[in-house]
Amino acid sequence: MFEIGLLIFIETLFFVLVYLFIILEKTYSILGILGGIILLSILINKVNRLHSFLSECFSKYKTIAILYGIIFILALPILLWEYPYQIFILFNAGLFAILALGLNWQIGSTNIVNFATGASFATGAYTSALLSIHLGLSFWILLPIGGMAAAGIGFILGLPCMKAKTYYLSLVTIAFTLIVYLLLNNLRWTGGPDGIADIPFPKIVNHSFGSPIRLFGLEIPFQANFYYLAIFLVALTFFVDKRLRYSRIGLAWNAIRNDEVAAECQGINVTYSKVMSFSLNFFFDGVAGTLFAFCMSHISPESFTFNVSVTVITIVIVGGMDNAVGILFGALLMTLIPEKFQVFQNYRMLIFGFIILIMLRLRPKGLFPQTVRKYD
Amino acid sequence: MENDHVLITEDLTINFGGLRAVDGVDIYIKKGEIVGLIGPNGSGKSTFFNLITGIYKPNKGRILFEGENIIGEKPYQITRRGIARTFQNGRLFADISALDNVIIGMYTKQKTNLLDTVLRYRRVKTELQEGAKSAMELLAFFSNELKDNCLKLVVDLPHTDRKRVEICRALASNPKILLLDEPTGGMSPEETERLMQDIRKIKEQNEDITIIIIEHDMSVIERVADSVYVLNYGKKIAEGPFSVISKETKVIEAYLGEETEDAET
Repeated sequence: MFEIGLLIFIETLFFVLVYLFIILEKTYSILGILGGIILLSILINKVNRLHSFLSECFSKYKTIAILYGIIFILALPILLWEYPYQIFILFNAGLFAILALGLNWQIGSTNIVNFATGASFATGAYTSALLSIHLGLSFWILLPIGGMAAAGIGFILGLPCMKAKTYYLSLVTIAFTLIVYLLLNNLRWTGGPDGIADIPFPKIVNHSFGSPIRLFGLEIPFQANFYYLAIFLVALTFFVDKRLRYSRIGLAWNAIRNDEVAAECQGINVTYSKVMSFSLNFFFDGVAGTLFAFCMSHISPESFTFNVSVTVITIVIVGGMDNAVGILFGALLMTLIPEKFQVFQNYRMLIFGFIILIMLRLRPKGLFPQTVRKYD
Repeated sequence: MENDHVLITEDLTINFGGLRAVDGVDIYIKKGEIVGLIGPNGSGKSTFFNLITGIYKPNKGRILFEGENIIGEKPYQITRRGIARTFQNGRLFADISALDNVIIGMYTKQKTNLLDTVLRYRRVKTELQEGAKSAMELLAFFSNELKDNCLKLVVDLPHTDRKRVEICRALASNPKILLLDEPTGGMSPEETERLMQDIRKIKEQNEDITIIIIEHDMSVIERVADSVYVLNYGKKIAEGPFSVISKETKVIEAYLGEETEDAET
């Protein structure tokens, strides 16, 4: 009983800090909270007895701990009912979590440094937006279609790309992102720099996603609809990630990451595996793009620049290579922090570059490194 | 006559620029043999392995595996046919566990695809659990300690264990031919002795397996190999049982240098 109590207490403490971090806006208080979170994690990590005791508690009462976490995540919009913008930021974090989980199959699992996220994200968003505007297709059909369109592009791009290796492959993906951005800006049927406007909000039965959720007399802002949808898709991606990791596909990716020749000598078709990783990543990027288009209801090329690719790569590097939980943390961290320090908005990419350098120097495998697979 | 030979190479030749790394090598390997491949450093032994496994493409010649020409096939296709190998300097997947390495060795035997992984996970799970079980057995075959350490990352294992894990990974695919490239490299005499026993044990368990082994330690070759091929400057200079070839002047010269008139002075 004591163990459960302590576990709940520590989790609650953590959740309160996260909640305060989300709502507070003064730089000093934010720094204070951030310091508190860091202190708490250092305390848990450094005091060996506490650390082993807590991890023991956690593995013992895993279901309770996870359930509590899920309840907190689901209750967040209710707690934030006065802060619609904060809910929107969290929606963004979810979006980036999907992109980063997908990119992890490339950078983390297979060691393909792929900068094409911006392009695949755009492919999904534009495909769905255009189909919705011109053909009137519903969001729920477009969600897989957007993914499929992006996966198709990924497959077509992937096949010739895989002839190139390491830096050269990265250069190809950078070029691809830039080309897609230029095309979106200059093609007439994509709306040029103005993009596409008036994408209708999705609907479930009679509830439009553009209207607020009414619950116990509370009016939760409409952003919560998209927040829940994003959380659902993050959970889905997380689930797929877990299955992929514990499968011959994930093992083959890890083999390729270490040594392509040795991997091929184990009977792994390296090109096929890499293209699969590419297409799967693009599929989920496309799904995220669709979600983004319908949430914003107006998209323009400016949302799909090279910066998106860099941000997502930063999330994977900070969160953890091939560790889905780490990536979720990374996504939360890397979307919240820039919002909190608006002062640095103009230097955002500079700071991201700095963070990547520091991480690669001090913790090259991220805050949460890959864990060892256990089979039982 | 091609029927009782599992692996045949005829006139196998590869050039690296001006260098003929392997030069017109003919070998005929019978099913179930343990074959030694020896020669001084740089004589083309590892290149020969790379040719058989499809990593290099020969300029000339044929490679017949079970009577079929395998030249032009990719390494993964050749592995699927049943040729597994280890590497001279050890090429394990370093940042995952030893157990994962051995399970990756079973890739050719596993059948599940992307659809199974996403929608019918039960199949993947049973496949992996069975794989993990037989991988543990394979590791325990070499040493129980290794089996207990199977969840350690490969980088954290000692050199000898890494060599063993690599052999396990190659064996995991149930190969018809096992190519071992200097398996005892860097081992102490005791460890070498144990590995030799292990190799004989592999043979006892599976009589049909053919093993080709590159080795510098002549005592190992003497005791393990049924027949030996000697390479020098890419050419085959001798073949036959160790007791015969070890007395051939060509072989002794290759290793010790030619005896000249003024050698004594």
